[in-house]
Amino acid sequence: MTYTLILRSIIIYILVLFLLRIMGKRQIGQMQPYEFVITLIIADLATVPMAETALPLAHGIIPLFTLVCIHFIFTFLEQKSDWARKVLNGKPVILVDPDGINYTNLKLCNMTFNDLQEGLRNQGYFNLEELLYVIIQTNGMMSVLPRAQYAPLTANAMKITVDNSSLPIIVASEGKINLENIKRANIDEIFIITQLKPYGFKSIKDILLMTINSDGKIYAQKYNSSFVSFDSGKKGDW
Amino acid sequence: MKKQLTVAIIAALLIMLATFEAITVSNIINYVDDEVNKIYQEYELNKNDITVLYPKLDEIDEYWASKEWWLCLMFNHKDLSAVTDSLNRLLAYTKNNDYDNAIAEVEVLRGITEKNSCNMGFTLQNIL
Repeated sequence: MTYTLILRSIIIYILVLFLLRIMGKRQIGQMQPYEFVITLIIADLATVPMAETALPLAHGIIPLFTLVCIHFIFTFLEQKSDWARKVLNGKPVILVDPDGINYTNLKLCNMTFNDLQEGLRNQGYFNLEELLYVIIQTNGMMSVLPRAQYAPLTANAMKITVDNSSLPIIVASEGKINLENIKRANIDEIFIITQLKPYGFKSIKDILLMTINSDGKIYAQKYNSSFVSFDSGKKGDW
Repeated sequence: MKKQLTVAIIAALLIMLATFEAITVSNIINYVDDEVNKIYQEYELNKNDITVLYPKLDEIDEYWASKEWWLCLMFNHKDLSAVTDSLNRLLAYTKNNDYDNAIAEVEVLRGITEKNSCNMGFTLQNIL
């Protein structure tokens, strides 16, 4: 019986993993209502035949596959039809507008002022007078548009030109070189050692983390030591 | 496109499985149900020597045993083993010419098969 339970658990686990991979990568907080419902049911369905050996696995597997098909149909409808999207997901609701809190909409969303304030604090806003619009999205996330005088300063607003930042890639971590990335950065082990030697790194094994960006800027940290950051002069094109 | 194909294949397989299951299972359950009903009347006719019904009963038992494996893939094993247990008891009573117990067991078996065809069938009651 134990072998049966182990094998059933493995089968169900792999199956649920496979089905969730088919369904997509959204996190729980980003799920639309119909996705959330399906995820909840899947979790429950998967556990029923796992432990009840008198039930065939088909009792869990067939509903799981059916739900995935339904999910796909709903996703398809959501993408193709505005009406279906409204029915399945609802629509975004404005909680705060230029006049202040929209109490009717707040009640419509079953939210309290505390919920609103908590959501705003999560977004980094503590004063309501700073906000022009607050919209609650269909997945429950809050979007905030601050008034111009409270909006974060951007280079565009300052009318200054800045270079685009480049993506750093990990060339070595925990004493090991990332071969794929050093090829991408067009560098080698000798380059790494040469660059890091002045900072007390004796070998690759000393590296906790080392990244390089396309401007040639290196970030490196030794085990139990603070990081160093310097320009290597080696520019890349990734 | 790959995802659409995967889902289309899953949907097609589900429909095929459901259709196959609906046909196969109703055939098996109906066959056993019919045979048990027939044999019930034969028990009444052969009250004095029910051992003559043993070969016929054995045939039903063998048929059930051969199909049980498939049914186990789709239905609760406890429901299915109720039929097997009842058939085994009936075989024993028939072999010993124990009419009273045998007829009572046939009644039980009729109830179980009837319940099973109700439980396992594709009906509005089951859907709701």
